[in-house]
Amino acid sequence: MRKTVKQTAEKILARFLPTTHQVLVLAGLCVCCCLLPGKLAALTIDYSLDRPDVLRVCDQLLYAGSSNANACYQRILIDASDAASSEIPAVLLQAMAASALGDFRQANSLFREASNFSDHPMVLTAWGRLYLQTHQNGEAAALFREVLLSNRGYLPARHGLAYALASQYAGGARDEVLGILDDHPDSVPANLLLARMLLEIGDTEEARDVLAQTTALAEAQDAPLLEVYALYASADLLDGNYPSMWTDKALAENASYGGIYEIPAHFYLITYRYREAVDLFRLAVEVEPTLATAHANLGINLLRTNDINGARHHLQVAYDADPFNIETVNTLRLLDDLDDMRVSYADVYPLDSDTTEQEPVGRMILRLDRDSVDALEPYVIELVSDAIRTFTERYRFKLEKPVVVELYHDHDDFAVRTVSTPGVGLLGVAFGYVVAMDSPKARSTDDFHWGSTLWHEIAHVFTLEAANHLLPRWFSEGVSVYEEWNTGPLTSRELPMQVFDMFEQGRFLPVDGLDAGFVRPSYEGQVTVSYMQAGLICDFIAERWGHEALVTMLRAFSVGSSTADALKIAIKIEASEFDRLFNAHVQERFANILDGRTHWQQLGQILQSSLSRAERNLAEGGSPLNAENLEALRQVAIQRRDYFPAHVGVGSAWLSLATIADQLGDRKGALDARWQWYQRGGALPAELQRLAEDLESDGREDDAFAVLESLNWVMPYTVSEHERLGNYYLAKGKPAKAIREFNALLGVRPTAASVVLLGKARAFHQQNNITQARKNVLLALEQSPFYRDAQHLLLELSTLNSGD
Amino acid sequence: MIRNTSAELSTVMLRCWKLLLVVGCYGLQPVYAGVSGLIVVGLGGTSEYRQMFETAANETRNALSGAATVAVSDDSAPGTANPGRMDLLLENAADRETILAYLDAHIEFLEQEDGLGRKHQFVLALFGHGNYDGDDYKFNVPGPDITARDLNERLSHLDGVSQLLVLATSASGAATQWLEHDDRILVTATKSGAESNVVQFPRYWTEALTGLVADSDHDEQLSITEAYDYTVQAVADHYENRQQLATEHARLTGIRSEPTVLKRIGSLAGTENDKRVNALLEQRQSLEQEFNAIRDNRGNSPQSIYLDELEVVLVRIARLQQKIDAITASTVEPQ
Repeated sequence: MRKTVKQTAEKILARFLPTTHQVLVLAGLCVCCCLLPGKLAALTIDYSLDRPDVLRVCDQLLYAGSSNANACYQRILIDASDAASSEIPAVLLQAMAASALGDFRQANSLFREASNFSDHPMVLTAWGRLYLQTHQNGEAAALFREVLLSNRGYLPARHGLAYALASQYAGGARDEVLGILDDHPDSVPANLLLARMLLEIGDTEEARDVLAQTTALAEAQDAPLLEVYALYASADLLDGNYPSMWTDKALAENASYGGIYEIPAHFYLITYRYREAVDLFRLAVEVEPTLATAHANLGINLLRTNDINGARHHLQVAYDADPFNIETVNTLRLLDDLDDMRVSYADVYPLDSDTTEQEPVGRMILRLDRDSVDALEPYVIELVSDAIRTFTERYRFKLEKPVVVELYHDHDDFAVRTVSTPGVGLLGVAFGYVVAMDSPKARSTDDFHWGSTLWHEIAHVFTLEAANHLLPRWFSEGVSVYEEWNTGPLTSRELPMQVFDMFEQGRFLPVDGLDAGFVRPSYEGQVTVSYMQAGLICDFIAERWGHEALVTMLRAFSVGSSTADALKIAIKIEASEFDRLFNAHVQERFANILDGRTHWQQLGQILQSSLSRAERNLAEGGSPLNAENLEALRQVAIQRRDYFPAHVGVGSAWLSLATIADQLGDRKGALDARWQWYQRGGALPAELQRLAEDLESDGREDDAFAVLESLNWVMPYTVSEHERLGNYYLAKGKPAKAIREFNALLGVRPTAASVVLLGKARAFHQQNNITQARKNVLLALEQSPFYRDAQHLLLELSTLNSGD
Repeated sequence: MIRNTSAELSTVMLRCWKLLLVVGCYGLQPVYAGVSGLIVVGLGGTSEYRQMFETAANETRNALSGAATVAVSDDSAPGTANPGRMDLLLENAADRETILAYLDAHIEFLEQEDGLGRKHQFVLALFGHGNYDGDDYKFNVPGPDITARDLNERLSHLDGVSQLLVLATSASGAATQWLEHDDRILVTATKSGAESNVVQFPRYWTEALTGLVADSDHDEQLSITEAYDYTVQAVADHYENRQQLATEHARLTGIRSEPTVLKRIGSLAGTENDKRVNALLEQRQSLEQEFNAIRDNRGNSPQSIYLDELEVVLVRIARLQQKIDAITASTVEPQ
């Protein structure tokens, strides 16, 4: 039985566990949150079978929640000579006692001293555990490895290494766990890790089997069952049977065991249920007020629910108890930064509504970095407003709270905001009503379309809140990607080539197991592939059964339906049949690129090398490619384009065609290629600027300014575009948009105040708001009294007749 | 439609430039100074840099040519300094000895002429590569480099003469410690000697001098401060648009309270000698003083009253501007 469980587990883990650093960065945070000694709690369980008896006595008091535990450890700290031996010197026992008491500095000093007296592997292993407790996992792993070099099979060091690897999100944790279980099937901590991994992929049944085995093993080894109970409670939570009987059982054994709430809370976190997680963290700190990790998690997650004051309080408590936790420190720093951000509010009304009479359909609170905030804010407001109106209608869900939107210029701040959130955090994240993401200043504009990202995150707000956070991850991501493609500001449907590779290798996951691709990816890039697969699934459902089917599924999820049930309710077919239909659809829809992607890549290499060489040659004063060569290259580009016309990123065949046409002097060809590229969602700023220029030269003014407008959703910090757009909208009689552009211009270039104020004066003039027009033109002239254009408007508006 | 050609203007200016020194007002009146000096292009290294530096040097000289009394030296006689005029030394001709010889000639001339009056301005502009060896700033020229100490030693003879120094090179910030002076406006392309990468400053300095873009107060008189401010912003944009860390941060020291005008632009271009325009500009300046008084008092009255007061004087300025425009428009020759 034992073996059967492990074999099953191996099979599952081989399928889902990450193998690379990158994947673990995305998804591995959850592995270590609860079970790592330092992460877990002040109550740190040491399962080592060779732990000295003198400490075990104290441990038992600790595990039972006895207030005598501290005194017990203190006695050892004062004098351990009676329990010492030649292998286990007194100073080692004192170091371990200091560690249990949380006196980490003294413990560190004592361990150093102990290492001079003994080369027993327990010294470095216990020292390594101290490093784990103080969140220095790299150093801990180094110590465990050092132990294992000379004591290859030393089990406590292997346990430590498995924890350390998991906590660093490094590959190898899985292999360590399975390796330990191969050699020591009775290892309690390895079994606990295994159960944890199974729970994370939602396999509660297998996890319960492992936990049953672990219970028997722990009892046989006289080890505490507290963590076993906590994982049982987690399984109940995942199965929808929470509160759990295991909570009472644990508290009966130790009334101050906060882990019984903290460990299950982790499973709320990885399923987006932050409010419920907050409730459990509150209970954790209630029963164990010194539990620093729970305070830290509570603080971090209160921040996700926009309770900044509550977050600050608990983070401060966490820091006071455990100043070594970098997550706590970083988040406290982030809170300081949040204080410096500008907060603004806006209501969202239905289009063409009279705002004095209608209730808003939604509200937003914006928190933006102050630098150039006026350049970004108008667009954030406009896009969030559009998104709220769109999704309110499409999902028939009215927001119950304001949406909080935070954009960070510093990616590190954003990264801190998303800490402990597995599988997300690349560009943006939605914690329900709170959305955080990189600002356009945080990333290269070549691979970051902030407008599309924000649209994606606002879609999450709707799906998460409409389903009360009960929906599977794949569906929330899928709908967000689907909405990016169909209603967002960027129409690009470009799929990374890896998506096709994985599809052809049969590595698309079944729809009812797709969450594993996000939570426990098994190969590099699987999170991205899963995003795309989820988006394609939603797109396919909407295309074949109508958008309403997605709304029906959302409703089904909101009452606790599984993916399979939601599919049956919405489209009346089984999940396996759906997979068959979906795979056939993908095969048909992407037949060209699926069949020809190798050739597509080869053609890309030819184009890239030829055009780069030609460019270098020209830059060095050489001659351009001759027309014959360029015509040949054009045919290559056409062939490549036809394989995958949706490819609009760097290296797009459309852009190759444009470049070739440029070199041939074929202005029309270049313009057409760039226009087609833009129509398919091309968004590289330099190309958009070039296209706008060419369109304007070609007399296609409206198209040119549509392109410039789209540039704002990629790169809102350009100066000339805002001024041009502002004047364009003035010329077109669209004063509201003109004012938006002039406000943005002021944000990016405060020194352009006179131009901005004149632009706004003209816009107000168009709106027949003479009072504001006069005020703005006077303020423009206050900046630049000789500004001729402003003078002309002033003379037009002024009622003064005096002259000199 | 074209305005008076620069050739015609040059002729006029060459003929009268000493006389015109007395033109101008005091107080806040912009300084239409007599200008003389030296513009040097150092070693470029590559054709791209060479072109950037030469363009900047030429545009700087052209800009100064628009000032009231500048005389541009005759390039047809290279190797000879033209004291009292704007000389231009290019790359291979610009070795240390030649530069110093030119400076000596200019300085000696100014000393003989007693500085040509208190509003004369001496200009030295360097475009090229510079470096800082931990001890001194060096401007890279053929042969031995010329240093900040060299320049300071020569320029110290010009005490009492207004000076404008533009060091548009890498590491030029290091020269500040040697060249900062009460009589001197010093523009450096970098804040220190540690900023040693090739600078983009000359590219945007050129932009500032060649169009209307830098005229932030729209008075059609481009001041050094305006040109500098525009260049600083454009350089910052250059790096930000490329998402690069800015490796140069220009500095300006010694700026005076009155604006130092480089050139008249827009409809005022070429009107330095027009008495009617100059008379109206004097009136405009008087109104500007009224405007400044109101603006300086803005916090002391409700905004509505403040705007009413502002409107009165701004309408007067606008109407006066119409008169100036009527004159400048009539001086434009039909094509």
